[in-house]
Amino acid sequence: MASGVAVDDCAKNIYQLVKMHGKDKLRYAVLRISDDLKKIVVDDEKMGTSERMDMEEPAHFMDVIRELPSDDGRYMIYDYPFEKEHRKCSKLILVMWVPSTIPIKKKMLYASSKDALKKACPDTAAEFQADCADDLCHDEIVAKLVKI
Amino acid sequence: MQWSPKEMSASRPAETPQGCRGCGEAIGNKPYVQALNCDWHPNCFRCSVCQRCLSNWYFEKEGQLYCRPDYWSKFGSACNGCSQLITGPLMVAGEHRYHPECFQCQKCQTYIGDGDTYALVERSKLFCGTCYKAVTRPLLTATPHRRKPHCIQLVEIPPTPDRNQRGAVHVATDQSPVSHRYSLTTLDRLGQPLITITELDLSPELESLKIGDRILEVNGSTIKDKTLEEVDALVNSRDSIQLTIERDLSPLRVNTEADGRNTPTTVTTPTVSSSSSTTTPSTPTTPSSISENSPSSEGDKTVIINDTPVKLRPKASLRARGHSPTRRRSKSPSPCPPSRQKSVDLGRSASFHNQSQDHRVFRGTDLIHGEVLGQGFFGQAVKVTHKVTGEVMVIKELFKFDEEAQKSFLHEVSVLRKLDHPNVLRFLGVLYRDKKLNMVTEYIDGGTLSEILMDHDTAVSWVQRAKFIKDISAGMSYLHSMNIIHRDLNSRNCFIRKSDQAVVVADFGLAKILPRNPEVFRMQTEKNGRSSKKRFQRKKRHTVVGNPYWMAPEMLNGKVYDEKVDVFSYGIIICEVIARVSADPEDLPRCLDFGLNVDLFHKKFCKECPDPLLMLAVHCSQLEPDKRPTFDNLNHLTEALVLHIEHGMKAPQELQGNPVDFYHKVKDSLYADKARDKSTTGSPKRKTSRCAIEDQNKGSS
Repeated sequence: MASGVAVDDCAKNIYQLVKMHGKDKLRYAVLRISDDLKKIVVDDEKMGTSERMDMEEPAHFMDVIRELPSDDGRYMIYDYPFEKEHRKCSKLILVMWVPSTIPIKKKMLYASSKDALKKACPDTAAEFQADCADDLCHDEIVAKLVKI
Repeated sequence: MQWSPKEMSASRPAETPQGCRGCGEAIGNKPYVQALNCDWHPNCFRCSVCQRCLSNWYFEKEGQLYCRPDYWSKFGSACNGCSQLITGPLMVAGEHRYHPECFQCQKCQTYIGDGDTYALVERSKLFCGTCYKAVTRPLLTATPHRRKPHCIQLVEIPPTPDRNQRGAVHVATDQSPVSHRYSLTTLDRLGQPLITITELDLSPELESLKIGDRILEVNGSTIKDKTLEEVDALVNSRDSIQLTIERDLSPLRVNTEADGRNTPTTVTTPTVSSSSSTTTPSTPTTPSSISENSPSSEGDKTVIINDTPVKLRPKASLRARGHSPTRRRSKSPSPCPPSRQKSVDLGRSASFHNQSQDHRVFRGTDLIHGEVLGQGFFGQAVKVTHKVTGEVMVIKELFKFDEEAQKSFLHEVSVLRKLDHPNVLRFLGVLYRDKKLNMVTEYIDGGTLSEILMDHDTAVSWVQRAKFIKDISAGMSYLHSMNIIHRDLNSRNCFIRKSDQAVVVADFGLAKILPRNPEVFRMQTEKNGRSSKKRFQRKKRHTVVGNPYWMAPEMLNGKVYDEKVDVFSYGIIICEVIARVSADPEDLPRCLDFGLNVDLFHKKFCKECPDPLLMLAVHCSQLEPDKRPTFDNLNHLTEALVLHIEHGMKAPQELQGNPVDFYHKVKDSLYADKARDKSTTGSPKRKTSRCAIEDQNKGSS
């Protein structure tokens, strides 16, 4: 918002799909800043369909991360499952994907627009920043989520 | 605020416990005045300003008595809510004026915007339309015989399906009989036309109106310059209309004494046992009459009436006012008896006086909207002209600003309005309309700094450029001294005044006012290691705001930040001034850590740039917030810099040396520090920013 990048309504809608439970639920959604740098939209190619829902964690999460482009930034909202006191639960996390190779301008825009996205997605429990897949590891994410 | 007629009475209560409140002496069996829960000698009952004996009418504020002209000359231009003087935009309820940010419902605390319905009960208790209905109406219906309080209301009358029904509202000038409905309007005591509702249809839409209501405004414009026919046509028009009415059951109508006594508000009614003094309203008392009842010297000693300076009431007491025992109710009699003819003239002279002194006071409806000056993410800036004075101002309409943020901003308006510095845009006030915030500011004619820099056809000398950045630092050090972080300082928010080419820092839409806590002061005085630790505690995580190109790295990384974010933005502006390029990272080289890429910048743009100027930019754009200089410091540095460039005087110590070398030295030490921080778990003792800069200078020079 502050950067002049607004959160598009389609991004808000898909956040609701990740947040909710039921048969239309999405496990994750990938968002990006549109080419005209005006708003945050849904990255159409990666919607987070439910077919791989039953896949073993954290393998699925790492798979999705590895598919993120190396030449552009992304935001990802992921309903991350973990065990807390031997009970299965899941929480939404927000990942900001900014590879070190992308132009500094993009990096600035992604960094400064994150607050607006967080405001539009108030139920994200934790946020992570990654510039390559190695920045994220299952144990660290769970450690952060368990604390909340 | 109090405005109350004294009522004449031949009878007196059984006992008079105290003496005269004015002179302190016993009253005995002489005539006396009862007002403010006290008794007074008629000769001690004087206006605290002009010392004239008060007769039929008096005003009271904070225990002081005033005659009508003096009250309005003293408080007429003050806000009825906070008692502070009003400049800039204001809200008007009848003859009472408010700061838009003080025009707030007493019950639900919402801000009442221009055009929203409201009710001002007894000239002091302000309610929004909803709360007025919810609170006051049941109370009135429960006790129907209670005297209805004075009330100024803005009511909205919905359009009725059957248009003929609206013809049922009849208006007339107050003193003319209904049959002469279309005669010219008469003037009341204040020289204002007096139009009242004389006939009313019983349709449900009109339930908020009553016969006898005096119409003050129709659709937000006063009826002052309208004829009765025009008002009548407006009132009975087909569209939904907004009427500002004054409902005033005057004491003359309820003139039986017992009735006046028994109402809960009788304490406000002063009583004079002799009618003699009332026949000479507003005339100076002769010395003989003073000595007769109370020697004037004695009267002067008492603090109550004479020569006591009036303290401005703090805003917080606004709510308490309603319950205070000195709370008065006002009544305005109509029609105006001829004996009060003299005060009519005084009233008019007073209102004339008011008009001459606050030409800067205006209502939203007084402004004519002109061209759109610019469109931002949050809204647009529109040039406006005052209908009467022709003064040009700017209204910034914020339509994409969330409501919570607006409300918190309204709390800070009074601080922003007090700002007064040649290099800071004058903030005139706010207008609240349709739940949208409009900021009214001064208009600067010379365009933005960005426009001037990007216009490569005009040459800008290095002296001029140094003066630009000196002006910004002067404005910013003033803002920081007022505990305001700008957070959106950039070259598009800096305007150039045509007359003297001075830069004016503008746009406080995102400004953050820091709470004034004692730590701030300690931090400024202490110069040892502890002070920087204090400032660390003061840092709070605020939201990420501003334009990313000028945004400080700590803000971009979502870390805590303080006023030093403005210094970073200032550093980027210096780079723009040096290179005359846009701040877009594609033009202005930046590093991956969001810092300035001094190597590349120097190579590309600094062939002619004086080294001290670049040095200043490097100092300001350091990654470590605490190492950036303060604007106080920058103020001195830039002044010296202007002298250096203009007259060849020696550059200040801090700005000597090779900027590129200095940049690498700072960067190396920063990353070395970081590595050390990682290796040692304990927190290393940091140096204060000033020491650090001095150390680095020693090393680089």
